[in-house]
Amino acid sequence: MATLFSPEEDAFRAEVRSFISEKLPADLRDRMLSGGRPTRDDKVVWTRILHQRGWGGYSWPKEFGGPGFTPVQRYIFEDEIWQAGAPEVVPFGMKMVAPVIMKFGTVAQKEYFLPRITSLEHYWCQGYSEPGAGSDLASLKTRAVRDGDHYIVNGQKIWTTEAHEADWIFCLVRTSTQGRKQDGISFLLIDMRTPGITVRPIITFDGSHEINETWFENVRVPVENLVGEEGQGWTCAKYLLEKERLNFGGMGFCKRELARLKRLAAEGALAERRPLDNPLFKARLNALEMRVRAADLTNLRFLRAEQRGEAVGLPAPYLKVLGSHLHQDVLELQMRMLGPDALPVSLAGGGNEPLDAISEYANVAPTYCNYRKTTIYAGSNEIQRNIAAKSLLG
Amino acid sequence: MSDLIFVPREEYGLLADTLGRLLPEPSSPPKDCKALWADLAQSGALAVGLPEDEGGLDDARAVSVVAEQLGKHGAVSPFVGSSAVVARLLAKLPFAAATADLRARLADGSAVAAVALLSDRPLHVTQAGGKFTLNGARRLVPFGAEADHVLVEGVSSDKSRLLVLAPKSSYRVERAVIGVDGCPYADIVFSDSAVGGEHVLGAGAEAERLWAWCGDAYLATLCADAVGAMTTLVRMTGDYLKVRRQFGAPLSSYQVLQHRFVDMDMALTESRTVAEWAAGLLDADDDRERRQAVATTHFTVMRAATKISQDSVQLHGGIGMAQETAVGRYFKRLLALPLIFGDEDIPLAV
Repeated sequence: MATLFSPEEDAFRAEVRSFISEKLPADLRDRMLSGGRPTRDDKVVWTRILHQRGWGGYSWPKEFGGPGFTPVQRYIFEDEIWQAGAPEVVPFGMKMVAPVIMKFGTVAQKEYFLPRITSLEHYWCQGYSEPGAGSDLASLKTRAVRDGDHYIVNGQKIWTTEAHEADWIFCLVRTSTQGRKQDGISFLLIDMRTPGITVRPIITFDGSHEINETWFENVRVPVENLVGEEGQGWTCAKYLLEKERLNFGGMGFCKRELARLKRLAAEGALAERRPLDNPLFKARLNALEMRVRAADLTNLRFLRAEQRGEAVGLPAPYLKVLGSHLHQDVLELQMRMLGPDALPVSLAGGGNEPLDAISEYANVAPTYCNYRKTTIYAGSNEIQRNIAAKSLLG
Repeated sequence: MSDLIFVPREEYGLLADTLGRLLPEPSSPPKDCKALWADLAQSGALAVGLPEDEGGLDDARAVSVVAEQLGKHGAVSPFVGSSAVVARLLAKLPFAAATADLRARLADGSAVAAVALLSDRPLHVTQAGGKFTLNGARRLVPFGAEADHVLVEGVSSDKSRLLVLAPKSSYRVERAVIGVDGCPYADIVFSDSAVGGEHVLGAGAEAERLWAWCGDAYLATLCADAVGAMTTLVRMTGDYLKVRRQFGAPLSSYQVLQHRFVDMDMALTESRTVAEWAAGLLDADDDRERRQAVATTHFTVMRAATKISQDSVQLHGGIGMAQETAVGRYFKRLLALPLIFGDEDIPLAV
């Protein structure tokens, strides 16, 4: 018979599991396993714990201070993180800007930025989308004009996740309006404390503040913060998108929330309604679990191929599309299972007291609302299908 | 050596290449069943599931590599019942040595075994001395008329199960038909049919366990076959979208068709994953783990097969309806899975 993992990989999983169970603060774990979203402080605390173990940049090769995990070890590591109730590491630094710096950055950029990402001394955000450049990202207009040793940046970014909490932003900016629009884009690292940057919150319809609009008005950025060549920004961005989507932990979230769904079904007021005794509901749950399993194993199959140095199928678009729909469907099923108990989300009378403290059910409907974002962000699912079609049909 | 699922052994590529050359082009009409069977036997494909000292790779994953090629090329054969299920079942049994001769004949193609999957009619087995007497019928046995042996599950008077590999001489073929999938099926009838104890492969709880394995092995191998058939449909549809022009442009330039096609390919990608997973766990010691993998595969492949076959016809337009186009043949081949084992709702009802 064959197995999904080797004995060495099973041993690695056990090591990660015991590390997490020893080090993850219990209150944080409990909040995460009851559907809470981690605060900035939560992420800093947890990333520093990982950092002390040498796992702050767990997806990185050894030469840049990472542990040099294989692709499958990385998968196992994230799977354990999610199941144990640890917060996800902030992706913008470790998984997004770091690989670009490693691939295209100067020695000085590598030496300065990379260690500060693993320790989360620098909290990063991403400046890509603009009001007029969403799916058509390459038509972005934020200008960076060379002025001696600086670029002067003017323009507006939008949907900037956690810009209000970030120390640095990596931006795609227009350095030329000549030729193909992709060729006039550059990749710039900007300190969020630079004068001229204004961050305004955008409240999403679940009531939370995650995203922002970020304005740049004559922001002076030293030229040494350019990554790669001027005009190479689109190449950097495409490289980043590949990195972003392979093994992005999507199934870990689904597995964790499915486990929560089953726990909620079995306790408290819900247990009296016995939702799992409803054969139609149970069939829906079974279907969802099977879909999660199929997508999760497809991720693993792609990683095995990557480990062998083979290109198989279309990992990035397919995992993005499958994962994002599963996120939404798991949350939708949670909400429907709760029924009327998912209705209350805050106390009447303008009290600021979070209802979470009264009922774990209160975060279910808002999270369902919030996660409508997954099929839109990181290249909408329609863009993913365009990318896949180009590769399949030419 | 540890065998990892999703890490193919070197032999698989060779096996697939050999069969790819041996079998007719996917778009050409199917080859005569007997001639095809002889070719498969000659190539060694019928033996791949058997132990290494019997010329095989002792590997359920290799069996599914063969099944996938058969599906991909639209080849009609008794491979699943004969090679993937009965021959491998015989090799698993504690008294495997006693059936070595039969396995050799199944491997060289001189004998064919079939599996009576549908147990909707009673099949009574009574025992007297060393003899077992069978009474009853089995419907729609794939290759039931062509087989030399049919594997049946019967029930004794005390309600315990018996697994019998019934020789041709013990039953008569009552009705032979051709299925919508192009495969021959037959109803077989046992009337006071006496068989020796050597034909009884298991009894009681052991018979139930073995029969459950047979069902899973049949289903998982049929899913690998379906992955092959879906691969062909996706390729044919992609090729067609690139050459067919309407409104002055190739169909492949229209986004609505691009996205439908991508969804077909994505469904195929997931099906391949779960089919490889199920094949990897077919011989697992843990029956529950195997069952879970096979059920997930049934669900995933069934959904994909419906989507891919229906969309292949739709994206071909009118020509997809024509019998001269191979699309319809693969469409019908993919119907075997839901008609025999049930559609995707079945694995959900647990």
